[in-house]
This record gives sequence, structure tokens and C-alpha cells, in this order.
Amino acid sequence: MSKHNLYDKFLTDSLNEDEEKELLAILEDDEKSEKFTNYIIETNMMISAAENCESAEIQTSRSKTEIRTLIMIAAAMITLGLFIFFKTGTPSFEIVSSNIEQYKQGTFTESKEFTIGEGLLTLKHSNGNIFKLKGPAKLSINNEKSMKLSKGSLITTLDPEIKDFELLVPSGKVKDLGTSFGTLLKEDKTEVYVFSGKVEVSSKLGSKRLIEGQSMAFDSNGAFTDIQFKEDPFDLKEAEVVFMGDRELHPGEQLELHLDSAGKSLTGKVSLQFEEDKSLKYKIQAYSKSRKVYESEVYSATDKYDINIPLQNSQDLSIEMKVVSGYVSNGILKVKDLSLITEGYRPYEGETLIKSGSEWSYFFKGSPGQNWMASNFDDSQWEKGITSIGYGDQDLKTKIGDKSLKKTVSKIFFRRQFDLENLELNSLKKLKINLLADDGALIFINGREAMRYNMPDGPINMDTKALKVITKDNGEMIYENFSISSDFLVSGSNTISVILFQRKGQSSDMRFDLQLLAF
Amino acid sequence: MSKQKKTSEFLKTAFDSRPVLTAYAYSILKDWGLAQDVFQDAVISMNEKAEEIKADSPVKWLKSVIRNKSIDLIRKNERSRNRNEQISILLDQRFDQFLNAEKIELSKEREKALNSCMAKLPQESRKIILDFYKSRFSCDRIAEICKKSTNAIRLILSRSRADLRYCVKKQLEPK
Repeated sequence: MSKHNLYDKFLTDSLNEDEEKELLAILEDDEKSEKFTNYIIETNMMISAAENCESAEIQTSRSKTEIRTLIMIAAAMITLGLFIFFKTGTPSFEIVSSNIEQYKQGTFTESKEFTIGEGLLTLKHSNGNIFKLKGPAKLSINNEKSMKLSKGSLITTLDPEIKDFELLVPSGKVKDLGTSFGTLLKEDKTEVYVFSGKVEVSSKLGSKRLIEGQSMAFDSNGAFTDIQFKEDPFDLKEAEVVFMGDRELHPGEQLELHLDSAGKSLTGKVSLQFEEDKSLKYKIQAYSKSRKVYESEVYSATDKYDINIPLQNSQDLSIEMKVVSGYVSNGILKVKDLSLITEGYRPYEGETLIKSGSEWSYFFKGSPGQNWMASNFDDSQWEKGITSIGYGDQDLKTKIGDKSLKKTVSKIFFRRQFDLENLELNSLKKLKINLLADDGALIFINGREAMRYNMPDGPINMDTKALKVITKDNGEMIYENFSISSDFLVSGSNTISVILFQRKGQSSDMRFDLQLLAF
Repeated sequence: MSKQKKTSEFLKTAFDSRPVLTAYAYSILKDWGLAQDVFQDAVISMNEKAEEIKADSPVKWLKSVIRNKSIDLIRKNERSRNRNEQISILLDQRFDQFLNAEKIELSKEREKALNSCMAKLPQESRKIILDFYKSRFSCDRIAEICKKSTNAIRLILSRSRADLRYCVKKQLEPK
């Protein structure tokens, strides 16, 4: 057990006899006991600080809530007035998310029929019920408590207050008894999966009740068969993190992104955080297939901005920042925590083990010696800096060496340790590396080679060069994503070591940043 | 020294040593909320009994009041019935080493830096810290609340502490 786990067990009063003995041994050692006492003091301070932040948050949200309440009362009165005047007009469904061209996210519709092609459409009824329709599909609305699915798949999440909802399917019906369930129409059968609560499934031959975690299919003759329960019967893909990290964009500079999912219309999401002069106003524009698909004016602030960008069936997206008013003091817009995650997919649930802008030890003066990639290698004499690290570009966070360096350096060695004290390795599925490397890289985790980027196969020595030159036009500023096995990790302290290679001996720049995510 | 001046100086000392003394109470009670209450009670007692306390030992006096009040509370609430006396004695001695003027000053600076660093953590991480350490929820329960894996919760706790340490270290570095 790690020390931190032991300390936490002490603080949560859950030590067993052996652990008490271990803690006693720690307390009898001067140095170790000082660390333990410090840990308690630090934890105490952390709780105080978190409590202070939460109190401040509540204060702010209270005053915001008061204003919001007034606005809501005013809005409700106007809505009521309009309703009485027109006797109609309240939209039935909100399009919560969509990658279907004819249904725009964030709009409302009173449509009684939804016929969609390939894609995913999430509708929220004004009574709170949520319907996720996977196309090609056809869904008809009879009334608030009855719908008909003629084609495709539907996941229904119903408000617990609303009872007796029925979903009619060609050879039967599914009656809600307070639940969330998925219904898939296949060529020869209808499949029903219950995620929570219970449903009653009726076919020509009778009815069956299903509860949470159960599933069943019935064919056109009404015959029931058991099928294996799936939490995700839609077989949705895992969300792809297309881009993640901090960037500094010069006004007019574009962030070009290429998405992996071919031919699909996706919705991207970008969070931006500015830490610039408050008098500045920016315009964010996004282009897909050279068409402007998004434009929004934002003011510099420390808040996050969520913007949704429809991708118009394109794999390529470019995001551009423009200053529309104010004076730019240093000509650079700082974009923090920029992330673009595909939507309409299963949520991304990874955790960041190493984030962009982390501190790394680096060495560039020749060979660092044997076993430099091993966990126990002493890198205390190496220099330290935060990523992105390199030379030749103005926007690097850590610039190494002087101007003469360009002519001499063809490799840079990086090392960083990260802690997995509280991680259960057995349940980790994979690791994801988001790598920014100009030009090539060889990555080791705990001394074992984990992956190569833009490097030849076979043995690598001090004279090996990257396969191709990476320039601003072909990906110098783009994070490449790689999945690797979590078998490389060990419990406790882990070491990641990287060699960054040049393609040419005297290149004008080198650049490195890396994010490590655990799933 | 006038009674008023003595009381005022004692109270200042008490509040300066709050980060360490509340941690001391927390180490006995294993309940952060109760630890804050005990510290406040001890300061109230100090205010009432300032005249009886020796001028050179207000912190020691407070520590012993906190200890007695905490143990009383444990007895009343039948908390921590398996309290390991040896651990308590050794930890008590270790806390003495953190109650000198230099360490108290350092803890004040650390607390200030930590407050500023905590504000930079995502709100979700702050909530998870409070759920785990203050509300004493298990990682499994927090995972259920946050709709994340237990591993993810453990990782957030561990990463948050590492990030805070790094941020505090940077803030305390001489400029």
C-alpha cells in the first residue's frame, strides 16, 4: 500500500492492525514522521481552502440566482401572456444534440415526425422526457404519452413523474413503468434493454416485465427470446479527444484539426479560456470545408467559453481567433485548456496523468549515458522546464540553449516522473498519448519502449533521424493521438522518457509537448 | 502587560497557529468539522482564562485544551473506539515540532498560497476533495455520485494534491 493511502486510511479512521503497525514504524522514524505530520496539516489546509472556494462559489451563484429568478419570473410572465394570446406556440421538443443536418442543436421543434438518416439526434420534450434516436430511423409522435418507432433505434429516458408512456413498435409495444430503456428495431426482431426502473414488453403472444439490467427480443410472430444485456446497445464509439492542450495563437493564426472519423457529420466542442487584457474582444471563427460554420464574439476573461461547431460532414476543421476591438499589447492570444471532443458519442472518461505545460527534465548536450530511460536513472543534473520545450519558435514555453544551438542539436532527451499511488492498475484499459513532436519521437515508459512517432523501424542509435520533416504546414502545431497498453504502468512512481529526433541535422526548430491520459 | 493586551496577543497567536492546531485536532478526531469546532471552543476558553495562562506558552496551553476537548468528544460520541494510544502519543510529540514560531509562520504562508492554488483547481476536483476528506465518503460512493470510475476518483485526489503541492511550491519560491 502506498504511503498516501495509508495516511488517508488513518484520517478516515479505517486502519487495520497491520496498517497501524506500519504507521507506528513511520512515526518512530524522524524523517518519515515529519512527512506524515505534514500530510495531515496539508490535508487540513486543503479542506479549509476547498471549503472557502465552495462558500465563495455559493455566494456568487446566490446573487446570480437572485438575478436569474427575476429574469425567469419576467420571462414566465411574457411566455404566459404570449400563450394566452396565441393559444399555442410552446415548442414541443428541444434539439439537445444533433449531427443530423436538418436538425440544428439548440433549436426547438414542434414536429410530429422525425425521419433521419445516419446519425444521432437527442430530443428533449417540454415535459422532461429525453429521446435519443439513432438513424436511419423514423419516430412518430402520437401524443405526450405515446410514440411510434417504425425504424431505427431509440433510447428513452422518462421523467419519473410521467407514467404510462408507450412506445409502439411494428410487432408490439413497450410500456414504461418508470424507467429508462433502449429499443432497437432489427430486420427480424425488436430488442429491448432496460437501463433503470422497469418496463412491460407486449407482443402478439403476451406480455413480459423487464427490470433494470434485463433485455429481451421478440420477433414479428410475437415469440420472445433472451438476449445478452448491453449497456450501450447503440454500440456508440468512444469519444475521441481530437485536440487537447494549451496553445498560444497569434491573431489570424489558424488551428487546423483533422478528425479521424471519415465521412461523418460530427459536432465539436471547444472550451477556451483567456487570460489577457480585459479590454480586448475576440472573434472566434471556425471553418469546415472552407465554409464558415461558426462565429462568436467573446471577451477576454477567466471564464470558460463553450462553443459548439457543426462540422458539415467534413473531417477538417480550422479555428481562428481574431481581435475585433481593443489593443493587443504583445500580439499573442493565450488560449488555455483548449479541448475539442467529438459529441454524440460515449463521453470521454479519461483522466490526465501528465498535462500539457508540465515540468520535464531535459538534456541536449550529446549523449546522456546508458540507461537514461530507466526509472532509477539520476536526472538531477538535467535542466528543467515546462512544455512546450524546444528552440526556434517564439511561442515555446521553455526555449533551450542559444542561437548557435540550431547548428548542433539533433536530439533532445526528456524525462518526467508521475505518480499512480491511488490507481488500481487492473481496471485501467488503455493509455492515450497526445504528442506534439517536431520531428520524430521515441517514447519509453518505465524503461520499456512504448511507441515511436515518425521514426523508422528497427534499432535506433545516436545517428538515427526522423522519417520526415514536420513543418507548420504539415502538423508542427498539431497533437497526434496514440493509444497504448496500460501494461507499461506500475503502481507508485512511474517514469516516462522521450527522445526527440530531428529529420535534418541543422533544422531551424524543435518542439516537444506530451499529454498522457488514462482510461 | 494589561489584561486586555495579553488577551489580544494570545488570540493573535491562536489564530496564527490555527492551521497546525486544527490539523492536530483533526488527527485526533478524524473529523474535520468537529476539529474546527474544538479549536473554536479552545480559543473561547483562552479568551475567558487569559489571566491564568503563562505568557510564554499560549500555544502549548491551547494544544492541551484541544487534546482534552477532542478526547472528551471521542468518549461522548464513542468515536474511534479502537484508538491506538501509541500512535496518539507519538503523533502528539510530532505536532509539538510544528508549533514553533518558524513553522507556524511557514504554515500561514502555505495556507495563503494553498487558498490561491485551490481556486485554480476545477470545481469538480474541489468537490471530490471535500466529499472524501470532509464528508468521509468512500471513493466508490464518490464515483457513483460523479458518474466516474473509482480509479478516476482516486486519480483526481492524487493529481489534485500533486498539482496543489506544485502550485504552492511555485508560489513560495523567492522571486
